[in-house]
Amino acid sequence: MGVTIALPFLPSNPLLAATNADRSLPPKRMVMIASGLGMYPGNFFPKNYGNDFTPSPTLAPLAPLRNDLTVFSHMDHPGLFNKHGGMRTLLTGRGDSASIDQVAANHVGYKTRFPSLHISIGGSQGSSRTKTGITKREFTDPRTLFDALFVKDNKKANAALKKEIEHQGSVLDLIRVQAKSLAKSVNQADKDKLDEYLTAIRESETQLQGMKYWSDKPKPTPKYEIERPHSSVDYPVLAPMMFDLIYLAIQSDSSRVITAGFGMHNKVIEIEGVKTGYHSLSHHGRNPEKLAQLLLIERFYMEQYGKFIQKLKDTKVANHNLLEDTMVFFGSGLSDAARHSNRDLPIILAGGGLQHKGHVNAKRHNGLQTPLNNLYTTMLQNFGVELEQFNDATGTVTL
Amino acid sequence: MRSYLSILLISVAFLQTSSAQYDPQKVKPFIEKFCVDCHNADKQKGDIRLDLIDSFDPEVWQLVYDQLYHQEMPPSKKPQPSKQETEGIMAYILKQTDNKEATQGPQSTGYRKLNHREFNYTVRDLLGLNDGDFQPGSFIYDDTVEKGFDTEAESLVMSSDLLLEYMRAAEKSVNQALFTDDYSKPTIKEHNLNLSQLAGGDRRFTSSGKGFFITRDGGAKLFSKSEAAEIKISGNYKVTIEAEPIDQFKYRKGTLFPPYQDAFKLDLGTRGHSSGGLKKTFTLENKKTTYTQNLWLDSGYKIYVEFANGAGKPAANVRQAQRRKMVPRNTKPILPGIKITEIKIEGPFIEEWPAPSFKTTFGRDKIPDLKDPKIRQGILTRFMARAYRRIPTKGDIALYQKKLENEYKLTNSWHKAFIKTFSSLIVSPDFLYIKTGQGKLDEFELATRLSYFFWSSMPDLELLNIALSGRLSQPDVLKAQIKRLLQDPKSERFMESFVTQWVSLDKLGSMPPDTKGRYSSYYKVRNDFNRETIEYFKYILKNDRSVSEFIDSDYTFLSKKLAAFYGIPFNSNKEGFQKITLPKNSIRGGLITQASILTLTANGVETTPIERGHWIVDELMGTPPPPPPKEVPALVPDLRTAKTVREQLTKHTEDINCRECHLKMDPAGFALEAFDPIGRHRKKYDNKLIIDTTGNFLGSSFKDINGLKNILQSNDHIIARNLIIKLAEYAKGRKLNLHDLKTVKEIEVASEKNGYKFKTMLELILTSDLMTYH
Repeated sequence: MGVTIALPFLPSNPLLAATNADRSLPPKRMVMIASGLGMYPGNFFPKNYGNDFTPSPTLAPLAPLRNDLTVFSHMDHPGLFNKHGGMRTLLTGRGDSASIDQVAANHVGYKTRFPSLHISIGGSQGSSRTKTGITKREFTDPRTLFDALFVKDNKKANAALKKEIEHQGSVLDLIRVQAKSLAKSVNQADKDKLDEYLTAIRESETQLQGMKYWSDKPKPTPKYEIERPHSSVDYPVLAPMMFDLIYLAIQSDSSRVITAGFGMHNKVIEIEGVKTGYHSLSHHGRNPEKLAQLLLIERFYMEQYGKFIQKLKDTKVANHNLLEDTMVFFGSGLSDAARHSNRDLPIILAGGGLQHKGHVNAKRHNGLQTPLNNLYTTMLQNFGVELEQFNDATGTVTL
Repeated sequence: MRSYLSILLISVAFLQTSSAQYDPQKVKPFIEKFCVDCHNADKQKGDIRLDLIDSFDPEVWQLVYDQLYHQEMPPSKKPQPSKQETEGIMAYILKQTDNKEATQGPQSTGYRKLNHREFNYTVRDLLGLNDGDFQPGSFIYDDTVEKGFDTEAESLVMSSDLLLEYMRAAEKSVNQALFTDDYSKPTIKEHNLNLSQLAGGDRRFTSSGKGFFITRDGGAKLFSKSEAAEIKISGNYKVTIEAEPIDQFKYRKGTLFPPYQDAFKLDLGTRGHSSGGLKKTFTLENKKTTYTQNLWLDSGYKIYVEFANGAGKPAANVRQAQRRKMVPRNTKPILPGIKITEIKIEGPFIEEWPAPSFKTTFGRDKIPDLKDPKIRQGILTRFMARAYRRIPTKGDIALYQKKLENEYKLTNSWHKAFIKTFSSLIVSPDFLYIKTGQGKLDEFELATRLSYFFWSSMPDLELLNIALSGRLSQPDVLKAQIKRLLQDPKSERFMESFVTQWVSLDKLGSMPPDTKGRYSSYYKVRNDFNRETIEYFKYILKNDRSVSEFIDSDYTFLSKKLAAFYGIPFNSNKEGFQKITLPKNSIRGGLITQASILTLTANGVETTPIERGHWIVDELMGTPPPPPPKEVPALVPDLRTAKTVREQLTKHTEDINCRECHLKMDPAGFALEAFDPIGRHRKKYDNKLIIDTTGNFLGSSFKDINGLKNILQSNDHIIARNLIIKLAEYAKGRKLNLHDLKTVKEIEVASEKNGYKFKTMLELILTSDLMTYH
């Protein structure tokens, strides 16, 4: 691709309530990548621990990056036994709270054009959720993400958008008056519902302000050739495109929080050697032929993930590289999909300027797995969010 | 999801509000004898404690009541109370609900947001929009309801993303309704599409010249880039297309590229923001021919045409042909194509003017004079009454009158000012939330609950007028309205959405089988799976049949395709779904053996008796087992061993932690092992092992699925009770409490007398305080 874009300089952004501390540090980024149908543990987890672990069959493509990442064994969301529901709870650890990316997105706000971006090929994941439990919309085709990121709105549409934003602002004022007067004379259960509505009004206002601010700023225009995929599972075309766009979004500072990944379906993924539907393969029944095909798919994920990490590492910013500013997580809410197991999830974290440790055994002294939310707490702290525990975390992870 | 533990914690908070009339000594002997061993300070099975019962906690007692009703507790291996003892304590629990103080649980919210379906229907009805491509709900993301119905208030949440989507949907919808500020009847126009402006195809496989366009790209929906091609006024239109097939037999191997030897097909459809789609498929003559189609087109939409059976991935087709040396590598092969020489759109053909959406939105049969302030106030008041589903107060009206005037100042057009005002009203809390107070519903609240129950939409004028007159809560008036609402075709919305959610039809298709493997015939019949279940449910309700027919029957509803799939003779010469009498001793009949249920309880790859057994005890019977205990590893199916799933499952019944629930659940699933992942009957597994379908359920043993159905038939009160509860929860938008269970009991007893006839049972529910109270 070889296209670079200068990071936009935004001295006059009124939404950028930057402190001195903020200015001296480069902004952090968070990319959360997921597999919708787990990763077969027998091929995923390396047999030995430490910085020089021997890469497992699935992790072979990550061998050159061993010093830039940590693979965790024995880490999951304790108490969650929701089978395929694990895809939806990967980023929360429970059903009723904001996901890690939304906590990070709220921290950034409209300092970037998109507080967060969500894309998943092969179907959406539904893992990113606001604190009231509403699922964030995901792009399922990189081409529409490209339009949103880099294609200029025409002047007429832009003017119409501005007018619409203005009117929506006045509607919000009006319905707030109404909701407040309703909230005066109700019981607690009703008050909670009306509070939800009032909060939505308040947050819509912030959102409108952000959209208005960015509607005046030209979008970055990288030169990028969009390819037409054969189908929704033409991964050799779709996956590199997805990662290229995530890279461009970060490089152009269009967003600092991104969720992405590979969805759950039963189509035949267009990877050489794969002949059976993805979900059918995940129910491998330890059949060697099915496991071999599954390995092709899962190793493909790791190749794409590895290339993306490498590209960030090769991108110099000031006196360091972009990977040091970017935490790149990979995980799944399922481990062995054949068992619908939500235990011992496959988890990798790369970059972010953290002290990586190769392959880590996260089994605690009491014999239990480390809560994944402990790692999420560490990631959010690294991102700059001041919090002691994310959801039901019991501590942090030292990296 | 709320755990039993949190229920327990809440219940502790309520210990203080104890009642003088509740006498713990009356229940203590029973509880101490049968329950406390496993539910005490040290040991709390299921996170329940029953040693703290000095005051009456309705939520705990509701659990106790349910367990006793279904004879699930005490567990079978423990000492059992006599029938008399059980009935005595159950009666005492229900008696407590007479005591208002004792039954006061935590209040449930009286604000229920309209769900996705309801928003769509209500906006359409409020604005008189045609049920065309334009759907207000298409601008809004689906609600995520994890468990229970999509009417459940607690699950229906709001966020800023959603609120902004509602605003956009509202504005678009009102603009769609009041589509022109030139109030004269639109004239019929003729528009010939400029064919060279057709876009959307792969340029390597499309071409155009003066007066023609050729497409060889079967994967492309071709539409005009021109803004003029967009429909400006919704209405009926006539589309004329002139087309001819070309180059079908360019090569000697005439079958090289699709459509091979078949007749060429051309699709006509619509595209716009969303929910447009295919309207008509023309099978083309082998020469230049003119085709016409009349159809409704919504403003903002364009039409598209597509070479329906052309090469879907033309580039890949060409590469493949070259690789196999079927065409020369260096020349560009010519695929079959369709040459289009005319696309003409005529319309709108308006039969009624003002259009229905104008009449409904303004509430006038003629275009009103918006300059007259009195008329404006009348329009606004009437619209608000319909939007709020009640009589607006003076304060309500003043707020929006001001909005209307402000908008007029900005736009200098009353038409535009009304559009802005109406779209604001559609996002106001009084519209977006169905409001009910605590206790008995008032007339308008009752009218609203009734219409949302049957129609998933706002009350119509008749219902609002009866509410206004204060007569709706009179039993005979209420009964007459229930009858009227059920007879209205809009009540299909209730039937479809209720049964879909009750038996989880919405899960169908989320885990489809492989498109290639041994279960691929699913793709030929899948669209009929849902239909069978929905038609079946409708029939039982409309014809007031017994709910026991949900378990078994000597008929079902089939299409020709589905009958062939089941191997049942389709003894009807009519098209579409027909009521078909089943052969004697057929394994079909009833919900459980419908392909829809059997497929949604499998995962497209393999069957698990647990999932199917769980479906029977949870969805059909309403007795869901608690979630599996923590840290129990899931079953590892190992297809290499010569063990059946049944043998592998014996682990469950050997392990003390799993035994209690799996003994109830798994056996029902064993009977259903006689059906493969897409619901076809089988006698052997894929690895040739014989399937053992025997088991023991609800205390009786069975040999096969028909035996299991017999056992369920003789316990049909359980299914009846489950349906009463589910219908009440669908109507109320909340889980039932102990007080409601008393009414459930009364309805159950009354229905038993006539053999649980479904429509009669529904009428009993809707006239009871399950319907008329919050």
